[in-house]
Amino acid sequence: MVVKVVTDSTSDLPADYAKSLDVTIVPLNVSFGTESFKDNVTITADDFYQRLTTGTVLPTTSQPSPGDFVEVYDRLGEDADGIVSIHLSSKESGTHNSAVQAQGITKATCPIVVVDSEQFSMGLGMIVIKAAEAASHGASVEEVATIARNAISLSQCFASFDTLEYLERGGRIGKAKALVGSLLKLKPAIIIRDGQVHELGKTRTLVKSIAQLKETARSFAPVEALCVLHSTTHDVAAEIAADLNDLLPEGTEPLVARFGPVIGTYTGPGALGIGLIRKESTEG
Amino acid sequence: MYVNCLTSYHTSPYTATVDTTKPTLTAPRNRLDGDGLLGMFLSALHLFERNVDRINALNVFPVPDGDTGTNMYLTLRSVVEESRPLQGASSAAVSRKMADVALMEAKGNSGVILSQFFRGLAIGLEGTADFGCTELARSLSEGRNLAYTAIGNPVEGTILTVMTSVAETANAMDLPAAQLNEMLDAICSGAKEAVALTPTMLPVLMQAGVVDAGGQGLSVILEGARRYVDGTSPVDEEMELPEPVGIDGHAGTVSHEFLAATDEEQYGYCTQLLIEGDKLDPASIRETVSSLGVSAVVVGTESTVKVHVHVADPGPVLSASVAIGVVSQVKVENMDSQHVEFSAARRQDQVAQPLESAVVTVVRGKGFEAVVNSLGVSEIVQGGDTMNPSVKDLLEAVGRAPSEQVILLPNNRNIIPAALQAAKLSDKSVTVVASETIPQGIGALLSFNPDRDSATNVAAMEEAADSIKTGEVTRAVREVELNGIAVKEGSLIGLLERVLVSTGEDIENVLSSLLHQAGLAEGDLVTLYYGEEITAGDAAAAAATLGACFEGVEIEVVEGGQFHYPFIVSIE
Repeated sequence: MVVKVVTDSTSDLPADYAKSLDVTIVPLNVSFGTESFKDNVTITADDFYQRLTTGTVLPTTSQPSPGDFVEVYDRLGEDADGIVSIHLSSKESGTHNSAVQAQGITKATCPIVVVDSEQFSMGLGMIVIKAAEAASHGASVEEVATIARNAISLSQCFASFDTLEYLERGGRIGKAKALVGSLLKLKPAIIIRDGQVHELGKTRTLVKSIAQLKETARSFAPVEALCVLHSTTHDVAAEIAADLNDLLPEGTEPLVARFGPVIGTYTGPGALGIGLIRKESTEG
Repeated sequence: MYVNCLTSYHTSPYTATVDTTKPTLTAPRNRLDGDGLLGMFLSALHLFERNVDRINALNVFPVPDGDTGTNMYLTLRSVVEESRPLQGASSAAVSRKMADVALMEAKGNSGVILSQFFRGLAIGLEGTADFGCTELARSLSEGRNLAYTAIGNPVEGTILTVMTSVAETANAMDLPAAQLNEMLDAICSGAKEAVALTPTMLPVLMQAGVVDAGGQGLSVILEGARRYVDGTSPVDEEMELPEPVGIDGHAGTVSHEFLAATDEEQYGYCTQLLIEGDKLDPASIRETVSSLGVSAVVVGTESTVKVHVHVADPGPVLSASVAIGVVSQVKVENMDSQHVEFSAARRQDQVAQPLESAVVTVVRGKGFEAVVNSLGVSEIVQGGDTMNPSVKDLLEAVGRAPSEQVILLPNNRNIIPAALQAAKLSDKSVTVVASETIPQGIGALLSFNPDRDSATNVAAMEEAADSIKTGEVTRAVREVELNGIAVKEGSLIGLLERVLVSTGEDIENVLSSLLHQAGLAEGDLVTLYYGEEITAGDAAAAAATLGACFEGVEIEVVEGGQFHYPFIVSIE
């Protein structure tokens, strides 16, 4: 039984890690004015943040076309028994919709299940990892889809920003509107709930915002896997990851990943975040 | 510095209308009815009015802090003003009215204690058409006991000590044979002696070289009452202050917990509940509760008692309370961070039930008002140093707040008692997060999240408030030497967490020295809230100077618009 797992670039799964899990990533698009790039394919995170912080034009993002998905489904369908395609929250992006449309167009004859993760970034990435592991162990397409759907309620993603400017200008402020308009300089923190951005809290110093992220991560214990994300501060992320090592089962370590260009359009530079997946409850 | 307050006394409608008739009896009487009771406190009010600024000047810190004289005056004025329509009523009716008004109008810590004095009168005079020495002695004991009961950490050398002395003096007399004027003579002498002794009991008073302001306030009230009964002395002269006893003794440590209504130890469970029943005995409940935990505050009446206590295990407190009466408004807040995380994780398991809670806060200054508004406060009560809001002001704001769950941020040590009183009296579920400064209150506000339930919010807000250090720059209202720092009248002084740490004439030097004392580390954030007397340009210049002195420290300048304090500084 060969089941292929597909996701999109907002999962922020590191490319080599995705490859090792045999996960196919469909890129979204990021544009500076008329210049358009494929997320993490034709523009690297380094180039992106450089342009974001020094350029005069703010980036915009767009979903992959149904054709982008058709191409992938056609190719994978040639030798797969099924495809599970898991994407970012349908409340904030049309990506899920593109994938659903592609289902009806593709030449692939195997069953294709499209899953709305109700998540972003490594909140989505963690669900994809769980599904890909099941697929690699020979699970059926229904089994893999069920595992992905069950993982939605176990997955968490939260982040702390240097500024809300990018999220607000990008129109993705969601339910965290209360964070806008403070007269004090804040480091706003958000958490994804029910597919939308909610307020997690406000702090005013990096030390406190990091403490808040760690504390939030610990509040979700027991944790099965965890990834620390950053937009421009790798060393700080690595330090947080080391501090949270004890939260994970022995023999496993937190991942460190980067908010890619599309997610970075909303987080801006200096953002830190955590995606994690909690252990399944043993009771019922 | 007190000019504004004093002007308002003289222009108040009350003084304008009643000032014409000085309250005195034509001859000493041995029993007084309701009118006599009113006369006593009208006389006390007149005498107090002349002594407000002298009492204010006794405040231990040389800053416009809390204004004991003002608070007691405003409380007393409301009591007299609102009881006056009861002319011709029994002493029981008038004393009951006075106690009700005092409870609602109490301003500041000293006002809340004064309200207990009036409650004592209402209890002692219950059922009386008129009263004499026996009933008065009983009232003074009741009031004294209630005041000790209401305060979590009774501190001697304060108004409480004076209340004890007065109650003991009255009850030691030959009752019921004593004459009323003899009793008032005796308790006034006793009060003056007790006030003179306060520096021997409270090291901070000795260090500051003053007698206790609240104690002196009560002494003035009793003296006013005495002059009414005596009928011979004028009621509109300033009173000589008692000579402080033993002022040359060695200095102790400044007590930060001075008359704090609640102690904020951060461990275990903060347990609060309301017991309702018949013939409840707050004193015995307090004894029970105190034996089970720390920071016990038990206040109330025969029918309703509010319990607040910090315990390792809330179980025994709940069991004991259920055995006493009907228990409601139970609030158990976990103050141990590990447990907070644990319960947060547990709550995450359940379907999130959004609990709408609202914040009511006390600030003054247009900048501060804008800041707290931008952080999602529902209601603002105007107030702060030199202007403590009344329990009624707070209650009304709580009532207006668009939620049944209200969190109250007093932002001032002297407003905490009134806030606790408002929390107790409100029909809503009100929790006081005991912020002692505006920066602490803003810190707490940052941790407020309308998506979370009240208990989680309160725990996070208390922790956040605690993580903020507050600095203040103001001017000394008189010469003083504290902590080895000699301060000239009118000089700038820097206070860190209410402790005097710097003085001088140059504002940037005083600020810089204050921040040095705070032990800043890289990554810290200093917010300079500038007052109404400072321009934005001067504030920015000060920030630039400080930025050069403290590398790696971020300095932000925000308009506070506060009075009396050129700068209020938040350090985190």
